[in-house]
Amino acid sequence: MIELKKNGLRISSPELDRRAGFTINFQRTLRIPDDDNTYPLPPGLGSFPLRHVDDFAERVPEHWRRHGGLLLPMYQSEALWVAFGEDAGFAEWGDIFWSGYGESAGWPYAVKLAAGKINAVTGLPWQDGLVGTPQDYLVVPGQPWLDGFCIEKGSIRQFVAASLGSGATVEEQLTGEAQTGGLQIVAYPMKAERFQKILRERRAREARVRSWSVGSSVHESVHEPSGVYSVSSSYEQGLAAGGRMKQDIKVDPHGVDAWDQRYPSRCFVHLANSLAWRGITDQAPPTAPRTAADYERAGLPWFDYYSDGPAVEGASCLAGVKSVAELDAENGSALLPENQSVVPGKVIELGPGSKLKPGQVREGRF
Amino acid sequence: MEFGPWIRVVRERKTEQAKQAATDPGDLAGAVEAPMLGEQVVRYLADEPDSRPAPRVGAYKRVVGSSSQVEARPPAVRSFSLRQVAARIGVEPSYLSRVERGKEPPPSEEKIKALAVELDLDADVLLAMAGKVSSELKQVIMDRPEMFGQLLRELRDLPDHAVLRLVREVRDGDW
Repeated sequence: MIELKKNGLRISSPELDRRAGFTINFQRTLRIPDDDNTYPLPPGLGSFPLRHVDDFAERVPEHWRRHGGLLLPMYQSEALWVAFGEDAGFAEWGDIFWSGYGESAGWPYAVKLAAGKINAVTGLPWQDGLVGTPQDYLVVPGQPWLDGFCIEKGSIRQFVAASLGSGATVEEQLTGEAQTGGLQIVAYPMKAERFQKILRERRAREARVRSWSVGSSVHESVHEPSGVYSVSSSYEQGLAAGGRMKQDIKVDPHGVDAWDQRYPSRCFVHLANSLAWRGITDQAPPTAPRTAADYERAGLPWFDYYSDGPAVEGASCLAGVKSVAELDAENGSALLPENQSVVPGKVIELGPGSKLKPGQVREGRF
Repeated sequence: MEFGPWIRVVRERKTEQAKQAATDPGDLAGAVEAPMLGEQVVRYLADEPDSRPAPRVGAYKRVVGSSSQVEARPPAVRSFSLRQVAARIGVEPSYLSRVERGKEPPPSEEKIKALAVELDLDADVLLAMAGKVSSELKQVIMDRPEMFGQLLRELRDLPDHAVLRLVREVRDGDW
C-alpha cells in the first residue's frame, strides 16, 4: 500500500505486518556538470511536491488517469534523486537511513525503479516481479538513495528531466519510442519468516552500537520561478542521463527468495514540466534549481558515501546511452544550459565504510 | 483569537525569527527556512539485548535545507512587514492593516489561502478562523451531503486521538 504523506510516499504492507514500511521521497538537487568527471553526491535541497493524479482528474490527460499515481513538477533539465527513509509512523520523514554499524530496525523491502518503464539498474524493459541475476532492484534499508541510471559498477548517470519526444530520455534511446515517460516504482516486503529470523539473530548478539542522529527538518517554500531553464512544448517528461556520479547499488545480501512478491506496492509518478504543473494544479512549482557553480561559490558541501558490501555491476545498455550533453554536442541543441565544470571544494564523508569521523569534511577531488 | 489580530501576531513573530536567523553568522540556514545540520554522537552499550528496542542507526542527512540557501551572497532576509506581505498576496497595505485591526471583515478565500502560504499556517484552520470553509471542502460535502452529514455528526464529539486515521491510498492503475 502506498500513501502520500508530506510530499513523500509511505509504503506499507498491512496484509503482512503492521510494522512493515518505509518512505520514499524525491529530492530536488543540483544538476552535476555533464563532462568527463565523476562527481561526488550533490545535496538534497528539499522534496519535490507530489499530488494525486485523481485530485486533478479533469485537467490531466486521459492516459495519466489510466496510469493512476501521482504527479511531480520538474523544469526541463532539472535533476532529481530518490531518497529512501525509515517509516517512523507519523514522524516527519526527515531522515534517510542506511544500515551501518549495527542494523536498522526497519523492515526490509526490495524496490524496483524505472524511468519510462526502463529499469534504472539494469536498463531492461519493465517487468513485474524481481530478478536476482542480474539484480534489477535495490534493498532498503541498505541503499540510502538512487541518483541515476547505473552505467557501471560504482557510477551512475544523473536523472535529468527531458521532454518526452526530445529523443534524450533513456526510454527513447533504448526503445526507439516516446511512449511512457515518468517514473515507476514497485516495492516488495521481505517475507515475514525471513525477517523474524534476522531479528532473532540480531538479538542473540551483544550489540555495541554507535548512533548518529543528524536532526533537522526540511521546510519547503513555494516561490515564483526564475532562472535559465527553457520550457518545452511537450508537457510530459521522462528522465535522461546527465552527468556522472560516484554511486554504488548494493548487492542484495538476502537473495531474491527473501522477498514476498504477493504484496507489491506499485505506483506511477508523472513528471510534469513547470507550465503543465501550473496549468494542472494552479500552483507555482518550486524555484528553478541552482547550478552546481552557484552552489560551489556559496561554499556548500558535497557528499561522498562509502558503503560496506559489494556493489552491482552496471548495465552495458545504460552505459551506451548518450548523455544530454553528448546529444547537445551532436545535434547542436541546448538541452543542458549552464554546464560548466566545477571542482567540489568541500566533501562530507558519510556511510559505514568511511574512514573519516562521521561528518568529517575533506577536500574535494575527482 | 480573532482572525485579524492573529494575522498580525504571526506576521510579527515571523519578522522576529527572520531577524534572529540573519544575525547568526555561523548558520548556513538563512532566513526562516530549514535549520542546518545539527549533529550528535551518542555511544552506548545495550547491556541486555532485549531490554530496549533495537535502535535506529544512522540517519544521515544529505539534505542541506532549501534551494534558497544557494546564493552567492548571504541570503536576504525575507521581510514580513505589513507592506511586503500585502504586496506578496496582492492587496493594499492599508487594507491589510484594517483587516488586522478587525476594522474590515476577513478577505476572500483566495487571499486567505495566500496568507496561509505566506505565514506558514494551515489554510483550513485560517479559513475557519475567518468563518469560512474552503470551497473545495464545501464541494466534497455537497457531492454527498447525506453521507458526509452523518459522518461529520458522528465524529464531532470524538477527541482528536480517537478519530482513526483514514488512509488514502495512492491509486495504481494500468501501465
